[in-house]
Formats: sequence, C-alpha cells, structure tokens
Amino acid sequence: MASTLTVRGAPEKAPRRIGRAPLRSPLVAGLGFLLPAIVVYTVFMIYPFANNVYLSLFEWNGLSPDKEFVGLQNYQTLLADPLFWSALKHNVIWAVLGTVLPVAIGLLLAMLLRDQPRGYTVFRAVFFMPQVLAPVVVAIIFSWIYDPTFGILNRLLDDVGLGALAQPWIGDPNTALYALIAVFIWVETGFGFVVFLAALQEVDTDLLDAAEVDCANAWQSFRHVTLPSITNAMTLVVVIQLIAGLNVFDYVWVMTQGGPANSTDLTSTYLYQQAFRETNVGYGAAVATVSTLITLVAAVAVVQLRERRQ
Amino acid sequence: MRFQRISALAAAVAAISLALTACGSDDGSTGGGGQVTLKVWDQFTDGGTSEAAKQIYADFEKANPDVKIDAESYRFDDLAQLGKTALASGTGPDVMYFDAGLGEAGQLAESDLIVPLDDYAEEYGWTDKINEEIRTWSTYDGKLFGLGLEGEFNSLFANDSLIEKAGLTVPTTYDELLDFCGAAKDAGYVPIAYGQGPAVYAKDMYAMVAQNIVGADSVHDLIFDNQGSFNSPEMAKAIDIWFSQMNDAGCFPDGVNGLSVDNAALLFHGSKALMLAGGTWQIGDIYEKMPDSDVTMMPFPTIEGGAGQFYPLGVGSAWVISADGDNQDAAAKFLDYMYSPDAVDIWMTKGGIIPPVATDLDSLDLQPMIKQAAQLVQQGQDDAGSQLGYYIWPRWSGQLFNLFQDGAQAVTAGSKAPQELADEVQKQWESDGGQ
Repeated sequence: MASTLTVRGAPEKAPRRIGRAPLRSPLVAGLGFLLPAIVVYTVFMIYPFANNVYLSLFEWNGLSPDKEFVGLQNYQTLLADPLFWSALKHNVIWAVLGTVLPVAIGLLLAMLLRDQPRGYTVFRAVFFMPQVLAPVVVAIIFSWIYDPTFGILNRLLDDVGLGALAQPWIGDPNTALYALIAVFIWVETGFGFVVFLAALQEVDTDLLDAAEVDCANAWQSFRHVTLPSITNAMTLVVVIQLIAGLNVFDYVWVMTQGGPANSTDLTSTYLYQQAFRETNVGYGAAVATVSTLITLVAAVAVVQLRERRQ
Repeated sequence: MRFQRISALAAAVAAISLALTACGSDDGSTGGGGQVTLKVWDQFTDGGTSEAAKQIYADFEKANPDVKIDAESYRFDDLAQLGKTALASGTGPDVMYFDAGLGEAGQLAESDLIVPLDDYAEEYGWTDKINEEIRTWSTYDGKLFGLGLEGEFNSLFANDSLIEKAGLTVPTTYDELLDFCGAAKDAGYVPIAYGQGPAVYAKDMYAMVAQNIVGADSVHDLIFDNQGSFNSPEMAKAIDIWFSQMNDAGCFPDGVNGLSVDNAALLFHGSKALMLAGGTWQIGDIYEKMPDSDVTMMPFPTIEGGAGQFYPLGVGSAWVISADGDNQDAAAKFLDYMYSPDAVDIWMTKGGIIPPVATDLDSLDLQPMIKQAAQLVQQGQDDAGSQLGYYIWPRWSGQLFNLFQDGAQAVTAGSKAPQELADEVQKQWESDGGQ
C-alpha cells in the first residue's frame, strides 16, 4: 500500500498517512520552510535597519557609552542641510544615467551577439569582464586613467589631436560626477548584457519568423516581438541597476571621496563622512534611514509599474 | 534517535566553538611564564619608518623579556577609521599611534577610551624629556593623553639644481613666487608639486601662509586661547593666496583638484616640478627617491606687510594607551622606550623621524634636511627668533576639518570666495565652542 500524507485540520476524506506521525498544518509547514529566510532577513536586514532608525533619534559620537535622545531633530537638520540635498541630487542623476545607459548599451550589445557571430565567445567574455573585477580595483585603475598629470585618457586625446578635450576629469566639479558615472556604466553594462543575452535565446523564433513574413523591419520586430518577450529580464536588470545606482559608494570613495568641493558626494558617501569621519553617528543614521527608504520606494515603484504594464 | 542526532550535533558545535575559541584566543594579556603580549597598532608602513619601528620593537623586547610586542601597521587614514571603532568595541590594541587631533584622539579621551598619562609622565620623567610644545597637542582638558613622536612642520622644498637649470632663482618673496610660477611654466616645468584631490594638505598650506601674514603668536592665541578670528581679512587673505591667487598664477599642476598628494610628489621626485609643498614627513622620501638631487627645505616666501616666515610645527599622531585591558603599565614602559637614546638614534637615522627630545645631533649621522628639521624642533617655538609656528588643524573638530578640505577645493574651483570659506570656518569654530 502506498503511503499517504495526513494534514491536521484537513477534511476528513483526505488520505491518511500510514505508520508515521501526522504532519502539522500547511501553515506551520510553510513557516518551517520560511524560517531560515526569516531568520537571515531579521538578523541581517530588519534588525540593523531598526537599530539604525533607533540610532537616528540620538546625538551620539559612536564612542561614548552615553547617547543623548533628540527625537526627530536629526531629520529636521537633514531637511535643512544643503549638502544632503546636493548629495541626493547627485544620487538621482547617478541612478537615472546609471540605469538607462547600462540597460540600453547592454541590450544593444546582446542584440549584436544574439545570433552568435564570429568571435561570440571572446566578445561575451570581454563585455562581461568588468563585472568580475572588484569595484575598488576598478576605481583605482580609473583614478590612474583620469589622473590630470599622468592619466592615459588625456594623453590619448593629445595623441589623436583632441588635446583641447583633455580635462582634469575628476578634478573639475563640472565633470567629476559624470566621469565617475562613466566608470559605473562601463562596469554595469556587462550585467545587463549577460541577462539580456540569455533572455534573447528564449524569444520564440516562430514569432520572429512571423514578423518577418509580415514584412516587419528590424526595429518593428525588435519593438513588437523581442522587447515584449524579455520584459521580465528587463524588470530584473532595471531594478538591480537602480538599486546599485542608489547605493553606490566604493567608486566615489576611492576616486574622489565626494570631492572636489562636494561635487561627487552621494548620500552613501555623505552618511559615511557624517557617521565615521565626523563621528556624528545619529545624523549619519538619519541620512542612512532616508536613503534606504528612497531606494526601497524607487525599487518597488519600478516593479509595480512593470507589473501594471504587463 | 532524533534526540541522539541533535545531541551529537550540539556536541559537535560546542566542540568546534571551543576549538575556535581556543585558536582565536587573543586577549593580548599574558602568555606563558607571566609574559605580557602588548598589542600595538602604528602607522609605520613605508620602508624607512617600518624598518626603524621593527628594530626598535625588537630591541625593546630584548630589553624587556617579559613583554612581547604584537604589532600591526596601518595607513594614517585607515587607522583613523579603524582605531576608534576598535577601541569602542573593546577589540582594539593596548597601544596605538593615532591621529592627535581634537576630533580623533581628543574624542577617544572624551569618551574615556584612552587613559591620561600624567602619572606615567611623572614616573618616567616625560615632562622634562619631551618637548613641551609637542605635549601640548595631546593635552585635552588639561590632561596629557598622548605622546607625539614626530615633531613635524610644514614647508616647501626646492630642487635647487633643477631651478638653476631652468634659469630661475628660488623666490624669497610672494611677488617673486608669482613671477617664478609663470617663468617655470614657460620653461616647461610644474612650478610647485601640490595636489588637492582629496585636499589633505590644504590645512597645512593654509597654516603656513596664514602664519606668514599674521605671525605665529597670533595663530597661537587664536587656536589655544580663542583670541582673534578665522574670518579676519588677514586669515581670509591666506586662503586667497594659496587656493586662489597661486592657482590662477599657474603655480600648481593642471587639474590640481583631481591630483592626489602622492601623485603630485611624483612630479617632484621625477624632476618635472621645481618645488614641492608639504612638510618634514616627506624628507625621507626625497632622499630615497632623489639621492643625487640638490633639494633644500624652505618656508613660504615673505608676504608684503606680513609677519615674517614660519614653519608651522605640530604633531600629526601621538602614542595613546587603551583604557581597556590590564597592560597599561607595560604600555607605558613601551612608550618610554620609544624616546630612549637608542630608539631616538634609530628613529632619526633609519626612519627620518624627528622625536621631540633633546639629542646631540652632531653625534648622529643625519641627512642635512633631517638635521635642519631636528634643530628647529629642538629649538621650539619659545626661543627668540624661532621660525617655528603652529599647526592649526589639530585644534579643529572633524566637522571643521572636512569643511575646510571641501571649501579649499571649492575656492580653487572658483565656486566659493575666500572670505566665504573664512566665514564658514569661523562659524563652525564658534559652533564647536572655539576650542
């Protein structure tokens, strides 16, 4: 006789399990499966975030055992702090450019390699390579590339007769932020590229053939067949890029530390500076709380928007 | 059966935990035979200073068999971040060579994470032995909390032979300096190797120029007695001269706001720049990387209507002793050894470090600039005719320190007026209580 499962609380007609103790309800079983994830999220996400919110209600230097409760004062200070708003503005620029461009370029590259042309493997490896490099290493390398005195970029421009375009890339407040975003785009394009390349392999070729039969040109075929077929991949890449763009820290800290003249400060570098360099931990925690909420809202909004469209 | 499995698992976890605890036991207290292990975190990461520190630690161990040194070296910035959190969490070292600024070691003292050294100073005679001005930098609220090891000051360095080769002469006045910058640029050289990305030397250059304008005594009164202000026209002029006028005159490399101080120094070491801006901590590097060059140390040129020429003296870092743990006596013994004649000899000859203690300099085989710097440090600020002034930044809070670095970049970029930065500095100074 085949053994069957008995679930407590289930209708009496449910098949009985022979020879072993009955299992608990589906709710308990479900919770059991979820428990490891709940524990991990609680320990590494919820508790630190809650603790961060708690710290943001104090004035504390991070060293002394005494903290002074100041309520929402840190948030009030934050609202009137021009450096925070300037950092947030840089974050928005970064998140937009750092999402749109890697997604667009990654998709373009994936489309070019979709039919596995000659050199496919080499190109795939080259386009993805920046993703496997540690951000700190990338930042150090680009610091050298951008160096106003020794940097290869200005030398290259000089050598090809474009010396007039040579700039102190990360030394000029007008160009520094964009020079850093360019590094981020170079690194992040590889991620979108690989995801899109995999998604493109799943596009129904019958649909593409049908579009061709209907005399659709390349753009129409891409717009009406390919793009709708890879929406899930698109959502995934956009959300991940958006979060990465809003949370970026390492490139900026290694290359400019938020300078020159705060022109590359992001909320992440600003909170680090406040909490750890100026030992203004309560205020840094307030900046962190607001940054986290902004990231959360942005990510959820993008997902909701995609789901509604679908 | 299930219970047995769980018991076995629990026993295994406990055994592993115990094993790991045993392996990782590192309370830095006592080893076998009553030996004390002293955990030391320093900043001696480069060749000369690292070698000197290793030798001195080894000599100390030899002289004190009951103490073992467990040393780790970190870069200045890294230790500034790590040291505070480590001490606060009870995982720090027994002894640390740490940033002596009010916003750094001053905060450790305020938070009772390091111990006052006054009793040890009396016991070991540090009050007589160690230069008073140097001790002042690590005295917070009237108590001595740290011992500076390096008497250092800000200066310019001139590559005399290269300047001569360029057909120029070393400028002695500010007006001459501006002319020198233009002529040096025309001759294809960088006039002064200086970087501001990030602006870590901005506060040093500001102190050097400000002192030449208002004089060392005025700076002393401002930073120690809160007499005067940071936004006086004279102090604003100091900002204007270094961060605006000199940049406009082409004194610095192109893109100075994106050039690190280390890469700027390479221009000088590679004979692409005629002068270098910085301080005595660069002397060792100059001798190592430019052994055949003819380099001299000089203060900032005189400024018309100013107070003379000064080298702002101060302490970047100081030895501090953790309040956590039982090794404070051994730590004090270790600190005392750092200023012993044998150690001073090694610090100076091998490390290019100038300890602030009276030493017969003629008995040591010193490079000329190290000897010159040591003579100045030993002379101190109080001697009549002294060219020594005062550091400013160690009396600043972390907020003011960062505000100045960012502001200096903004003035150089032309997005902030010198007087505006001077006003911001004064406002923050007042907000910090004008310490």
